[in-house]
Amino acid sequence: MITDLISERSVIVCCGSGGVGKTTMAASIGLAAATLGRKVVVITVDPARRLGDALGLDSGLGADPAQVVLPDDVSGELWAMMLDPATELERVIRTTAVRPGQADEALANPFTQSIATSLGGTQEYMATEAVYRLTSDEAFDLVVVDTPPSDKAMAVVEAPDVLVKFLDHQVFKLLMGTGGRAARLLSAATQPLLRAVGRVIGSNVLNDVVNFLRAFTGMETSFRQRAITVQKMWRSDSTAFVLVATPTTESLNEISRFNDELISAGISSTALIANGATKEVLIDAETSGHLPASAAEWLGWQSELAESERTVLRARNANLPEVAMVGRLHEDVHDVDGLLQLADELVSTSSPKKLQ
Amino acid sequence: MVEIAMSDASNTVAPWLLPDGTLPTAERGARVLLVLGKGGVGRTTTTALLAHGAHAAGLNVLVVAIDGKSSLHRLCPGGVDVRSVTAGSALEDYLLDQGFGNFARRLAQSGVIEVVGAAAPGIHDLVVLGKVKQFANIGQHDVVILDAPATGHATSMLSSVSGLLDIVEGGPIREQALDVQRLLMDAGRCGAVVVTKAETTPVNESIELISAIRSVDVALAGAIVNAVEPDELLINLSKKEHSRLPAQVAEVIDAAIARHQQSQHNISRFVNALGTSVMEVEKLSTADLNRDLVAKLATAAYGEPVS
Repeated sequence: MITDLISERSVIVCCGSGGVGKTTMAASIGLAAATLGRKVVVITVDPARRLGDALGLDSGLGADPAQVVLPDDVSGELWAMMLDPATELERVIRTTAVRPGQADEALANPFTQSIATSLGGTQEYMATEAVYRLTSDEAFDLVVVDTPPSDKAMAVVEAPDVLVKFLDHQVFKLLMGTGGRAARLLSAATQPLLRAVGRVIGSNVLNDVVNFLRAFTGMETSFRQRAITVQKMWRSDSTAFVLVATPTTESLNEISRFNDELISAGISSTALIANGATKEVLIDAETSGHLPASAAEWLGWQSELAESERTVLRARNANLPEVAMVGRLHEDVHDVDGLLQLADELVSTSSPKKLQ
Repeated sequence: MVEIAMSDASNTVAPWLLPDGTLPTAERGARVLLVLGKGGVGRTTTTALLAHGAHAAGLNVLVVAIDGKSSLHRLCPGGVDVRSVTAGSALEDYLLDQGFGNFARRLAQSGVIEVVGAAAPGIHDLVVLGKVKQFANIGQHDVVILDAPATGHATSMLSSVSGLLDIVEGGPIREQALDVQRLLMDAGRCGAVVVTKAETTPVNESIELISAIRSVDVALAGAIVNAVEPDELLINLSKKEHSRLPAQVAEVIDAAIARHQQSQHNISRFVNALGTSVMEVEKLSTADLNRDLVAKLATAAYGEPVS
């Protein structure tokens, strides 16, 4: 199941709560695809220093794809980058500007940089811009997206919808104004709605916001076009959403809630990776009888936990897709070899074990 | 069968009794506990564990979840109030309280408030903390426990208040920020409980979190290492016993012993960074934690309920 995705799709989006191993899983999926000969780029939206280390990228992950050095027998390519919202915003502004000097003006606005990092939704929107750019780049035939933890991941998925809604909203139109510059400023300041905003945050701050938005005049058409393209891409057959969770009731409940949100957004997930599953050591009764008491007790504890994990996975919400179990690793993945082991486990036929 | 181990006796002091050892009362303003930690370490379980402990001590407890985590309803004792706060609704409520009426809803829904929020970073965090402060001052509860967002966001949440105070010079937002800051920095009323697992990355992040907490002058009310596995069962195996293990068993047992040593090392790094003792909570052999099991963990940690 995972193998099919890895060999066929052109976008794979990994989603899950914090701490479930989502970033590592995204890197392994990318590596597994590279071993199948594909040219893969992994983009992480979540700041993940560790991923750069694990991939052997000395200077860490940058805002542009860097190629990962892979063993000689891997025929494909693996590239990796980390979203830097400020860099991405600058790139978007420069490619979208509609008149000479507009990009510099927009970038010179004091808000532009702070907005890239602190405006709720901007980071998520920049993620979709970056994914759009990577999918249009012929150097890659698979883009693996490591999303932020699930509450923010939905914001990434919905960012294009939110942007279109915002561009269409009367408040935005009002802020952008319709008449000449003086008339626009006057109308903005006299609008009751904006006066209300000004009362909360102060009128000087509001004026800065208005100036910021106006620096973008004329660019909204192409913002909207790209947003619509990404909206369609999330829902296309060549995109797969892979959910990552740990095999516990709580993690499965969380991923199930997220999956429900995906479904309401018209997106169906393709696979659920149960990461960190406890390995069951199967030994016969005779061997077990001869084990030292402490070892027998420990093994008993392990198999109780393993059985319990299988039980909760079987009882998962019917909306969730098929489960692939990935065993718990002995230590954190810290190099390409570790990721390759995980990649092997993902694509091999015997393991990840399908849930019986 | 699920076994519960008794925790170390020195750790049986309940964190909500800190710092002066007196029980909090609603009249004096509820004790506020912020449960902080990296994603996946068991913050929600720990929040429920604290709720069980405080409830068993006879206190009126309110648990606050951010963004509707419903598992707290499932894990907390029946007599504990659980409320959910989302940043969006908190902002809307706040604007309503400030007399903005219908504007509040229009603003919240238009997306323009998001743009405005960027002008004053942390405004959402402030209104969430403001909501917690409001709950704590209502006088219905002795203890208010916040299941805070994951580490990265939690540190920005804590620093958002002073950040806002730097930007906003006057008006209702500034007053709110000052009120929240007063509560956060009052060691007699508010404290952070840091949760980690004994693994390398969570401990690294927890150590960073501890300095972030100190830098904003929030008191540390407790530290918990969650989901400690019973690997110590294995360290007493003699060489002779070990040599007789079947190969496939020896392999997993060696891995577990290595993991145990790594965990012990990580726990001592955590303890060193804290400068105080930590409470270890044992991992249970179940993937399906429920209210009864959390209650047992709480009894092991904080003792039997008062009658």
